[in-house]
Amino acid sequence: MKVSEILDQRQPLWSELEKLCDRIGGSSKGARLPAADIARFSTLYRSACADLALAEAWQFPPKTVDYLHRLVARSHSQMYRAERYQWRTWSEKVFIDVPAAIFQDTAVHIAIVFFWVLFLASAFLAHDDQIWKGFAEDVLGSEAITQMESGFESFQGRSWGENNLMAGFYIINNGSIGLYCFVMMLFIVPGFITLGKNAVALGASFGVMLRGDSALASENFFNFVTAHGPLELTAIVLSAGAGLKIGISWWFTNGYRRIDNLKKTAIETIPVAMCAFCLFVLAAFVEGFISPHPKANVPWSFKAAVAVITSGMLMFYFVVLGYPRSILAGYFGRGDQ
Amino acid sequence: MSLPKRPISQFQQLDTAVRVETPERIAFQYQVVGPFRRLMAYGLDICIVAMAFVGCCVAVILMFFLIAYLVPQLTGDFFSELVTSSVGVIAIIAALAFWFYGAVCETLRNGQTLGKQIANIRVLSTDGSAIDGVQAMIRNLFRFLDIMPFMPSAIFFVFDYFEDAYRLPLFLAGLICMVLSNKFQRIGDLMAGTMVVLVERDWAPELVTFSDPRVAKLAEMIPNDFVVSRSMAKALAGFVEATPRLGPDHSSEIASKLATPLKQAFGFPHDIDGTLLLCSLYFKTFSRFQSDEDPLSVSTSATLAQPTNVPPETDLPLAENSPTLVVAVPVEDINELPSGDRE
Repeated sequence: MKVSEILDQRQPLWSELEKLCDRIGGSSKGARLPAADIARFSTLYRSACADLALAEAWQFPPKTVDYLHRLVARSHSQMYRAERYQWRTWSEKVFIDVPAAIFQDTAVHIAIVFFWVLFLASAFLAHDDQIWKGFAEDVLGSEAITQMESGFESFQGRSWGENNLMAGFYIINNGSIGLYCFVMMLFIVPGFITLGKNAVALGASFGVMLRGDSALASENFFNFVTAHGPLELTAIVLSAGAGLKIGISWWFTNGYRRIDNLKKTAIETIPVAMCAFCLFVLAAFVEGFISPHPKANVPWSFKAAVAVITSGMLMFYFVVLGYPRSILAGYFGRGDQ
Repeated sequence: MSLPKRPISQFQQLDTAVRVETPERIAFQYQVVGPFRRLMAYGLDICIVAMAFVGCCVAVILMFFLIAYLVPQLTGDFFSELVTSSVGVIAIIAALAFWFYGAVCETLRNGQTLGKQIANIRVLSTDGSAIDGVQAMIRNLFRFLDIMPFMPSAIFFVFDYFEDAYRLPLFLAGLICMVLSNKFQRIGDLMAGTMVVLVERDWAPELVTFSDPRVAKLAEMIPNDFVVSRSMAKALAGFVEATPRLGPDHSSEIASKLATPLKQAFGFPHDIDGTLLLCSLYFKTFSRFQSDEDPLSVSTSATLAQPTNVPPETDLPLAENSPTLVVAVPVEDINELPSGDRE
């Protein structure tokens, strides 16, 4: 039988398959096709697969073989489509897997220790101003300190429109810092530099304000940062810890190929990074709508209560939900014992 | 009867095809896409997001006019606050679009953003299967690393005004990674185990036909037991399809590489034109595709030649017919056949 005759017989089927691929397209339309069309698509796809095998084995012209490769490839990517987000699985991840992973994650522990040691040391050096004379000025710059003090001295709250605007700004700014810490940790050293710079700058700002060169600025500063501080600082540390885990997997492969270990760890880390992102968004809303109110409108005790509640929720999430279940089972015993 | 084979494995690195095996036990190829087509798709995506952003802004402005029209007693201060709020909301939408547009689109649209759909490319796992939501998220988050480094704003005085807010990404990290990777993977792709492939429609396959009657006559003289290997079939088809674009001298020169040993193998005179011989072999191989054990179970009265790699019998439906697409390639420039060989 001539190849041209085979092409005559097959081309209507291939054209039909092409048309069905066009109808399914790149969107989720495939799911809404009539059952008969889906069944027909499956039949035509398998037929095209058989034609490809035949064409390769029987030395069809390369153009025909190339065409069939593309047709089968195109149909294959419509037949086996991308998986949607499985929300049911994700809720299990969010409330069971992620807190447990964070609680036991050495990378997160390292990031916490690194950040808080630098933060506290920087705050101490800026506050003391004796051990390292002019530390805060070296880190932040005199102009920035003056600007910060004058800004907080004159800070009398914001209008509701400005609060909305600033909430947007905080989401973008804090989210970018978190994302930057996360991706830079892939190379470990640049990630630690980024995290360290943030820790030292934030610590120095706290130290300067604790020093109390301007009592009014200091009071307004702590009135401002109390409510959102726990959420924001935890989010930064968490995103850096998630990134560091990927960076470490680059070096310590646990018997896997380097690239395979990297992929495996990246997949494990994404829920942690998303958790950090949620904390950034939450912190931005608290910073945008609760933190800026002056004492006269919202008392400091309310903001302190917000800080305590959010810290308590974080502790519950990371420690209670994250505590290894095997150890809990050891304490409380199992039903079958 | 066949010619000695030459190894072609040394050339395989030059190909951009990735072979994938399906659950149906069929292996097919995807063409991976290089950086320039992908950059075009990314540019299109940025344009689409920017247009959506502008549309958002216009919608908000129209909403203000509508509010002012419907509630005329509202004060200027209220509007001022509303405008300020809207800037914040629009900024959040822009940031979310920048961070999550790619991940959400690729998950919901089967590996394609709108830009990728226009550019006919798709993201797949490196094993050929479709990507999932986590892979889409990883490859898009790590784009932040791929677009680095940023061009220092001081280079362009126009950007000095904005200081560091509008630095230009150079995409060098992603580009270098793609050049070093055999599947053109950027850092995000390596992390997520994904690749970007071409999903373009190909043209309908066509066979070359010959108007010169000498082609068919010479094809009959080629021994029936001569087996054309796959690589030779590929070379033959490539040559015959390119012949109309080649000059006669150039064509003969290229043909001689294969035609000379073929003439010796077939016992043909040396003065037969190489191009004519290869066209005849093409004609015999593809246009008189025959077998003693026809795999398609269709009867034919032609003389049959058994290929080496006969597949098992298939039960494909063969009832339907349609007009044949053929390309006629005139072979007028070739020399006359030697008189002794002509009937």
